[in-house]
Amino acid sequence: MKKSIFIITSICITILSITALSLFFYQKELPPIKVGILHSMTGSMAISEIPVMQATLLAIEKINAHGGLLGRQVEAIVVDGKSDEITFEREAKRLIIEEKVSVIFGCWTSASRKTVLPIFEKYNHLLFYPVQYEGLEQSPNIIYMGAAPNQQIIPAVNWAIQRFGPRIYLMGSDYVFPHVANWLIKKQANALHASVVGEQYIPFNHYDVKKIIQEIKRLQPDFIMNTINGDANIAFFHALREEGLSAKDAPVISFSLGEAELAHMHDDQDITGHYAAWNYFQSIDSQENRDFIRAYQKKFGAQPLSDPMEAAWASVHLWAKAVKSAQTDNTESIRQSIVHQSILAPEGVLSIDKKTQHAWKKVRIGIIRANRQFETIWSSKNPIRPAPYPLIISKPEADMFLSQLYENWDQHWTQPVIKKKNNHFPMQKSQL
Amino acid sequence: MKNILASIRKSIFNELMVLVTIIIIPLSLALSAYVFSSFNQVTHQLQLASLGSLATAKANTINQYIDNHLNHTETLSMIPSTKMAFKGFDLSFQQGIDSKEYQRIQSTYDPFFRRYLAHWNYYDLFLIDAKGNIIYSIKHEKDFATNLHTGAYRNSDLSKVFQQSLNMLQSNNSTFSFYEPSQEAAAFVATPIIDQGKAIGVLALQFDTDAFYDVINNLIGLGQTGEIVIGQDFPDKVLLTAPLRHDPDAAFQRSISHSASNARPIREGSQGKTGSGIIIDWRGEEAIAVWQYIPSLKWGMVVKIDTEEAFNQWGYIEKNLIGLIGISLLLGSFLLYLFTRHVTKPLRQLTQISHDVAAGKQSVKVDGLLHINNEVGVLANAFSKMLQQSQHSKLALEDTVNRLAESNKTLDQRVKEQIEHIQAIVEYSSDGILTMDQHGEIQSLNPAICHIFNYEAHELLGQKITKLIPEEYRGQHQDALQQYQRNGQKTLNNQSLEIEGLRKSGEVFPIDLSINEMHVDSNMLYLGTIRDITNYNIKREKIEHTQRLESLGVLAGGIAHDFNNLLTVILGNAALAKIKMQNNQDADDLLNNIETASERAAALCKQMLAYSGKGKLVIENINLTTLLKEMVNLLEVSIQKKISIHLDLSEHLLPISADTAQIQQVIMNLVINASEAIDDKSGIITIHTELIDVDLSYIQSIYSQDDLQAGQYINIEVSDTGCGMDKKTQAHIFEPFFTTKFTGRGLGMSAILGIVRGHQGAIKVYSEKGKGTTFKILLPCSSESHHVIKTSHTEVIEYQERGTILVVDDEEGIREMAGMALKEAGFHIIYANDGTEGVKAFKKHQKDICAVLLDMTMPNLNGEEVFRAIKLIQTNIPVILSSGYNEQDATKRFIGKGLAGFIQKPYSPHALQKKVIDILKTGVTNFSE
Repeated sequence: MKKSIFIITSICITILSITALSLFFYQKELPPIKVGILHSMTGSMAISEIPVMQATLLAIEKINAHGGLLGRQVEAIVVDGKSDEITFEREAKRLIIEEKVSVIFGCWTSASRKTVLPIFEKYNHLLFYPVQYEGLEQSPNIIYMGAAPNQQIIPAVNWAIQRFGPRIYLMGSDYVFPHVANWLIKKQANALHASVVGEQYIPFNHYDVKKIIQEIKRLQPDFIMNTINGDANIAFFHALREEGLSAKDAPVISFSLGEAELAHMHDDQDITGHYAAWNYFQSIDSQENRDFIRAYQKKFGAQPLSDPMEAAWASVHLWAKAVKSAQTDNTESIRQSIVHQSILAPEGVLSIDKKTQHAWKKVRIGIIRANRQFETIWSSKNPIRPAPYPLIISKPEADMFLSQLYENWDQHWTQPVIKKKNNHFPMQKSQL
Repeated sequence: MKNILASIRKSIFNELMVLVTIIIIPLSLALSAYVFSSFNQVTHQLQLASLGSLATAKANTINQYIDNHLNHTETLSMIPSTKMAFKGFDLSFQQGIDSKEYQRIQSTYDPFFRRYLAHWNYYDLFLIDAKGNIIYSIKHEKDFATNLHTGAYRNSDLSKVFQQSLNMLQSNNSTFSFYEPSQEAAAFVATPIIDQGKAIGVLALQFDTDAFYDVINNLIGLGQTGEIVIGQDFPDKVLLTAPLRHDPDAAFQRSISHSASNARPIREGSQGKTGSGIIIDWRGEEAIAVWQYIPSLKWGMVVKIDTEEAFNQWGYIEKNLIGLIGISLLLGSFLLYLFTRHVTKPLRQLTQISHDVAAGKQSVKVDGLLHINNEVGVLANAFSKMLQQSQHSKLALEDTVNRLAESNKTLDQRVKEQIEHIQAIVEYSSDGILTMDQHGEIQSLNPAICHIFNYEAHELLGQKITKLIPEEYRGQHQDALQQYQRNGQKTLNNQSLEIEGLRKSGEVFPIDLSINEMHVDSNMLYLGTIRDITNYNIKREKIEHTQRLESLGVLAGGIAHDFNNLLTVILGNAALAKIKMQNNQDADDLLNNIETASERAAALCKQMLAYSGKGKLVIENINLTTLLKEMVNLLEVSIQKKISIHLDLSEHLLPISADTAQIQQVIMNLVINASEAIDDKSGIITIHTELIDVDLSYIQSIYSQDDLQAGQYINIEVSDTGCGMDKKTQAHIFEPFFTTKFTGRGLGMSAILGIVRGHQGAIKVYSEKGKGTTFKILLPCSSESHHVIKTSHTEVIEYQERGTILVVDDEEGIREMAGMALKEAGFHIIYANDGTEGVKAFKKHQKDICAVLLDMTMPNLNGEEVFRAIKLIQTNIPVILSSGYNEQDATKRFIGKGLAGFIQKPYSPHALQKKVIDILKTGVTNFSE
């Protein structure tokens, strides 16, 4: 009896030792992979950026729920850009230098992106940028997850000209994206034998658009290309309707008006029947999209989902693939690995073009319905190869245009507000 | 299971081996498995990584290929020559392709475009105007000069890339698909031709499919089985768009259904997902694969290699590793086996030795193990010592055992002897022994029982004890038995009881019975001891008889003694009176009467003394035949006339030592008794003498009551033909005062007995009622001669001064009579009325006293003691002893002590005077010594 107890004890001890040893080797606590999230939690951009931040967190949460990456959890460090370029620049620096994050997901406005770009290039870091933009930029330290001009603006203009006619009115916020976009549109219109009949810019936080509406009424363009960002859209669309311009009279094709912004509109009537060009609509009918919407709304409530949110969500997943593929969270390795990744995102196949570090994206044009959702009325058959520099312009040409803007704006990417807000803001036409 | 465990536990070797088997081997295997799987995993990952790199490289190559072509196209579109060529073709095309102008333009620019085509390895080059007309192509296939908006090929990929280029102001490419004009798969790159900010047309190039497939089918790094699968996703299938290594005709011919089990990699790849893993490929082979998406072609690409080949090297290592582990395990196990054997060998030897010791083997040696330098050695040493001690102990034990066996044997022998002894006691016991159970059934018995009751053993065993009990006692027995069983009250307990037994013959006989309880094996039995006391009773009766006679004899002797004293006084005084009354006739007559009566009384006393055996004997050698012949006449006159006496006498008899008078009296009494038995009838009395040799057996069988010595005896038989006696009478005839006659004192036969016994003889009576009686007397033959002292008759003794006599007698009459008689003869007398006084008187007057007359029987000091005391004072003083007993009885205690003489009472004064004077005269005794 005693002997059998001895034998059993020996076996138990052996098994326990092996278990303990393997646990020792296996369960060594690995530090989390730190990632930065850089968005405006406050300020005029908060309305747009907070949902994007949430989508980013949602994706990180999903990855962590599936065991993290390389056996490590992903720790998100969320910082507030406060809708202010200087803050973006400072916080980006802090994330990179102090927090030593592996990657940063963030920025909405091209102004903020262009402000932080030198930081990323200086530290050879990596930024996933989730929003469509004006193009004319190609940094090895930025992965452009939003549409390049040829993936949103150019197809939309082409579509609108064919649909509504060749007379175009351009309307935008007074900062770099609308200026560049409109510059491109004008080039395209020329190439396509169309014409731009009017062009107006309003600063952020400026809501008096009456005069502009009146100009539109007077000019009667076939359609309006809207590059207003932020809550100025509310005033714009409301004023438009108040002036009696319906979507049929003056169809507006918006480039920065997503489902999130639609939700903030005061009146459905203000926007129903207008258009927007995006790569993603919440209304896309695919399994991936349904899963995405359900996961998001489960966590953040019945909020609308928009293109930048989807791009932000996809960014995290693509980055995760790159980490898995590179088997490291080292920024440089991921930068090399990311260009070979692709995923089946809610919007469809999403892959990164190696040459431009932009995503291949399908273009969609949707009409706003009364439920504040888009109905896709046109889409490209396949994802479009990203072309940050459209063929109609040359790179030197583009660079010169941008530097001129920058210099004119006192080395800012936004037109500085010189006068008090009740004053008329200058209607600045492009120099080119 | 338990048996297996038990058999394992029987040996340390087994246990160690089991330990090795269940711990070390699984541990090694687990470790190996772990190393194995880790190694496998690493290899797997390495392979996947390498495949991934390959896939990435391949995708890069393809992308690069497309990008290059895009670049080529864009570059070509920007060249002024191209724009000029386009404008030329555009204008001339409107005149017709056969126009001179078109021909001229074509001949101008054809070499230019052909050179590019050849240089960049394209299949065809197109110039398309803004309206969609293909205004130039090199190959002039069917598509040439058709309109891509309205013509036959408006749905072709060429049409699509054209439209997209123009609308998006961007170069783009199509994917590969079957192109009818070329009759093969084709893909196109197109770019807008922008002149002064306006899109004037499109430049398109058709890929050289073979060249493209060459790019894809470059399988460097994919070994022998590696393969690149490229496919395009359709709603329900993936169409393979490039040849396969293992199926060169696969392009656009082979498709994989979405639902196929092996569709996942290519489906996921073509749907934009990247992935990797071990898969089963379209051939059914297991392969390691990496898949990804090629955006420019919207294709999925699977780069795979058969696992067999991929892990070939690993397989080789695996085999070696397995072999190594196997060999190590085997070697390790074998070494462990050897080691374990080596370790356990001494233990096994020790075990074997222990077994040998246990089995009792003698020559057991542990020397081979003592040198071992570990615990086993210590154990062996201890064992060796233990063994030695054990052997010593064993020897000692053997000794003890032998001794014990010896003593056991002796003890057994003794016990056996004891048992035999006890058995013999029981067997040979003349007492009957039997056991009986509580129901009165006989359980066992000894031969004596059979002998006593005259049964065979088997007739009694198991029978009721009542079989041996006479009818009249059976009830009593049953009562006693029942009473005991009821209340344990014992009627018999260790006590013997004289009752009667019943022989087989029905004879009832006296037995001595004792019953004891005994417990054997918890059964209670009764042990009965039975003694046949038939003979004992007879003997006892005889002894009692003899004792009775003896006591009567003593009584008679005592009476006769006292009587003699009295008669001595009477006779003495009568004699003295006669002397004094010599002159008085009347008185003399009276005195004579007194004397006569006294003498008759003395005769009676003599008879009584004779009966008691203490009568005065005058022993002489007598020939009985002679004596009888002399007595015949006397006898004949003493009996009835009708009775004749027949003498049958032996002439050769040896003499007997006897008192003649007493013998005569015996014969006379017997003859008279015989004649009285015959009574008035005529009869014969036969007297027979003979000499017989008597041995002890004869004596015991006939005269068992007497203490006779073996030797020569004279047998006298007196037989009559009279009435005879019954048994009862025979039993009493020797008792004094028993008589069958109305007259007579009943002392005749007892006197005869007394006389015969006084002569150390024996008497026996044989009588049968109505037939007659025979008395048989044995008398011992004489061994010595006797001279007879004849009592002298009266002689007158003259008075003269003769000295002083001390008379010691407790009887005053005797004392006075003796004193008077001696004074008559001239003696002075000193009287002492007992022994003490006598001794005192003798001390006082020893100078005067010349003799002492000493009575034998006295209170205080008796005659003997007084004699000794006197002799101490004066040795040579003559002492004359007087006694009523006969001389022999009286003097035998004084033989050799200087007794001067003896005088038997009753004595006459004259006899006394003469005796004293004679003794004083001669100084010596004259009685027989």
